[in-house]
Amino acid sequence: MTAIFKREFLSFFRSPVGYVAIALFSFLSGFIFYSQFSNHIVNIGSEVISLREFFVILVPIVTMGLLSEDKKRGTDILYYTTPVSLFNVVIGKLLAAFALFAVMFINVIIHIIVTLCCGGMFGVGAIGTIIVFFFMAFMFISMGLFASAITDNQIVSAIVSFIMILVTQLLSRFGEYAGTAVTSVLSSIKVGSAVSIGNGINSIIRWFDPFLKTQDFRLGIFSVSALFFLVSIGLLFLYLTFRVLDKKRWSQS
Amino acid sequence: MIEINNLVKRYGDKKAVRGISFTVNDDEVLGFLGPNGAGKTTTMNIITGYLSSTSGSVKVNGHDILEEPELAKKEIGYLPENPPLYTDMTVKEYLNYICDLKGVSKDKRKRQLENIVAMVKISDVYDRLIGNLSKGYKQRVGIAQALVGNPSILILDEPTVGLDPTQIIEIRRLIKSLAKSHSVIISSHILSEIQEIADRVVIINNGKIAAIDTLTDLSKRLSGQSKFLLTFAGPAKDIATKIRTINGVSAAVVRVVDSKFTQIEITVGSADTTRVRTDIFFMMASLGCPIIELRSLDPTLEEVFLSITSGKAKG
Amino acid sequence: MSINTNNNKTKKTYTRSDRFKFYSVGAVIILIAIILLTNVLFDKILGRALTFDFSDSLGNSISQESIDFIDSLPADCKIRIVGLMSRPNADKIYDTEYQYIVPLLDDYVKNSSGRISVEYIDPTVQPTILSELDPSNSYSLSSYSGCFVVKYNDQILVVDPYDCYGYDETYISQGYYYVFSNNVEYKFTNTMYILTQGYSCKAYVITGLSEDGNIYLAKVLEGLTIEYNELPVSENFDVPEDCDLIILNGPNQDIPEKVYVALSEYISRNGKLLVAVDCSMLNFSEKYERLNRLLNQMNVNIDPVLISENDPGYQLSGYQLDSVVKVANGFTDYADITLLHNTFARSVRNADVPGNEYLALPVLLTSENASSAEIDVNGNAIESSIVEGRQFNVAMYTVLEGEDPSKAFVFGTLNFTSDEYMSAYGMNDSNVKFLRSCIRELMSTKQFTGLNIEVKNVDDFSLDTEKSTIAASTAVMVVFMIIIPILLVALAVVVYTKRKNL
Repeated sequence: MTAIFKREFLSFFRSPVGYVAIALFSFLSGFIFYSQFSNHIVNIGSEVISLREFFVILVPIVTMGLLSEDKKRGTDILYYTTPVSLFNVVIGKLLAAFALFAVMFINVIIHIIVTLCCGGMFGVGAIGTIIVFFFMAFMFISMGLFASAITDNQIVSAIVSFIMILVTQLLSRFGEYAGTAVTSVLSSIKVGSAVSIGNGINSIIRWFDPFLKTQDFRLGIFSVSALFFLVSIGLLFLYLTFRVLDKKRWSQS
Repeated sequence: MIEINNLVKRYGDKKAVRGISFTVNDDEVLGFLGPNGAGKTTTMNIITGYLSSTSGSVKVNGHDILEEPELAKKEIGYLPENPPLYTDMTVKEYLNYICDLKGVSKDKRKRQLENIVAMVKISDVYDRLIGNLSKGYKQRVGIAQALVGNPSILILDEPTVGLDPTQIIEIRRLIKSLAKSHSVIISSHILSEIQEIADRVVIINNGKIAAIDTLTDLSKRLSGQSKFLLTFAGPAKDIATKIRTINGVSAAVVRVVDSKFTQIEITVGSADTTRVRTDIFFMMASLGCPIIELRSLDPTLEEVFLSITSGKAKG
Repeated sequence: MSINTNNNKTKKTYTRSDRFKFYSVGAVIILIAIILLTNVLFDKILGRALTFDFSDSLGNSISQESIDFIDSLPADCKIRIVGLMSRPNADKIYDTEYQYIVPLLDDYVKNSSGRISVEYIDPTVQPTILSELDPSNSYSLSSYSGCFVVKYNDQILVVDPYDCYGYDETYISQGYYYVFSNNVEYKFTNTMYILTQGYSCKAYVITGLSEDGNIYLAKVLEGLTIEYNELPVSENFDVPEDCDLIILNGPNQDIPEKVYVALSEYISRNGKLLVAVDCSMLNFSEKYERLNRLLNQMNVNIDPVLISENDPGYQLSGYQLDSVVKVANGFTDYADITLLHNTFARSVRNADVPGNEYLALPVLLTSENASSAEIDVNGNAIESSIVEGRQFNVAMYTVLEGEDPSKAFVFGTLNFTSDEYMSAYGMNDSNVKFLRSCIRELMSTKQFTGLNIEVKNVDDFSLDTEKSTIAASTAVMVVFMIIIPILLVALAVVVYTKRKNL
């Protein structure tokens, strides 16, 4: 695991990918921070929340090559033929991407220091958003890792993870659309409880929305179950990734 | 020591490997021969744990590759057909990474890497990027990779493919030197290579073992009779007929006739070829035809290979 | 023979690969099931218990005061709170007026053991809700979209989200609302109190004398469950019969004769009075002769002089006109500290009217080294009027003997009642607490209970304006948006080219 972690993490810095991702993050966070700073009001929580919107771009950049490149180069054979367990490979890769996000986050820490030096506030809400940021990073990275495991093409992997993260980000909206659609279809065929069925579908879909679950953190309300949700979805994708890698050994097709 | 027992690998309805069994002894070089698509790489992938067999077992020094994969994999160094090289790393970074992967402890690592680098002669490219190396050096780095962790068994899939003749010779020499302390399974489609390196040969065709034996025994087993090529100065006519009368000669066919020399291919059914050769010599002397050359025409590996694979294919 | 072995192999084949397949598919399915199940369990059963309000001001939890009030309600009491909107998408409530309302209302429900219910019904989706809440349409609720209706029995009160916050007046004058304090709990608990218990008494604030607004004063009164009413100065000005308290909050003009007559009559029938006047640019030439005639009847006089504090221990940031004042003996329990903030104060003194039975007591005192001066039209101190090295009163209390006597608080500063002060310092400021105590004292003969809900702070993310200068923000832009990204990209190029040629 440490071997994989070390190699993947360093390989971000051996190629331009890591620098470009950090530069992009620096620019985006710098822009958000500057636009707040110039109004003399800096809410680190808002900055972190806004940065979460960029997972949809940053995560695919970071994760697209993690496993797909190995397949392309043929280096994935090393994971199968050396005494290292596949699950540790997956975890090592995840941790490498996660560590890259932690490095990116140094920007925000600098912003926090600047804010405090200028007499601004860094409160519980901001801490809550930072906690959520990293839990979400974990979840989205394992989604990206999964996307990287199912193909040997970096671009395909990037597109798949982009779509997965985008869908997650728009889950509430999909819920509303689905609810409304179901309601209108059911009421057109004269089903009595059309509205409640539609609302039910809406609320079921919204139940899965990680953004909805964790929104109260920025108000200083910390919910363990929301974090548990993020972790469990992340672990699910990690396990799926592991299964996809393992499948290669016994697959008959 | 590797014991392979009744290995089967299916891809959908197609069987890539259909019941292969053989044993690789300690410090033995086993050549693995077969036409493309015969299942060589699949078998090697199964032995190394990259693929799991559909049925059958592979035991590496007593450890089953499926049941104790980590122990079994520790014993194996594998050079796949495409060496698993990270083109964006330097040789040094790469070998250190492999050490990490194979769990070579820090204190042993330095000496081991020094040994390997000296053995495969890559010290002059040690700090260069793998992507910038020549094919020969890449192959050496691939072998170096397989040697990390001191495995007792080396599995080399087409190690000389795509190399120029000097490189091929060097790699062969390297493999020979490795064979002193390792069991080696080497697959190749260059038969002379196997002929040169291997102690025993496994020929597989269509996913099955077609032959397994030492090279000399294989040749014998193939024909059961020896052939000679007799070149002499003199007329072709009659001499062939006379040779046929020698006890033990089953056939004599005139191959070449020109103004100076005649060549006759002699097939000997008898086991005592030395006596037949002596008889030929005296007969030619008595006929006043000087023998220019009397050459044994024992079958080459190519012939063995072709006859076995084509014969099996027919069967 | 060979066919037989083949068959056997085929069977074995299926066992091993199917074992792998079943195992991995089964493991994934079981894992998904476990994850769903544990998450639903966590969410539904432990979700509430494992949710913690760590916010700095506990802005999302109701205080013990509110809980006690709710507990004091009868168990069958039903208070229905209806938000006239679809439930605000919690994702989007941040930085909106609903940010503190939605979670807090949930907390009300959680702590009410069924007495309080909260619903969100969008009248455009379900128009019947309006007539359901207000059958007589006396509130024309249709114009209150986005507001909350609190209903108890057949009575309703409307809470506008914008009333749930305190805004900084100086920012409002610049054209935007800067939220200063979170009055959500204050507003809702008081609304429920008023609905269930009714107002304790009625206060009238005289308007139309070029005074500033009374927004915060109204909030303070409402918090004390005193109904706030305005009494405009007019030709037929009269004090209503049901009036329990008259307030003059920072008039910049003297009261007209008509008002003087009406108020004289009012105090003669045990009227209660709260007067606050300061000495600012808007009124320094005003001598308030008629107001003083009125106050003289209560043995108090407001002098047309500006007090400046010379004791450095009393000055705030070394400024003579911005200082603290000491709470006089007898009033020290009105606020938690005894030095209160005071700006541009007039001197209030005992009028020493012979034979007056009112007992006038000092409430707020300057140091013994203060001075006063009259100010001329140009805003300069008149040399001849300067009095130095004295102690002045900034506020006084005057009361008659008796069972329900006439009484008054007279402030020579607006730091206790003005919107400007309360919006800047918030409603938990000691001055405001002091004012509440004064009003309680004036109303003490009434059946006066009231609540004491603390106003919550909102997170203040503003920077120190001295440090976040334009130069600093330019530096921030250059460093964070240009230098750091470009350095990183340059590093990427360097590393790439360097490694490429290794």
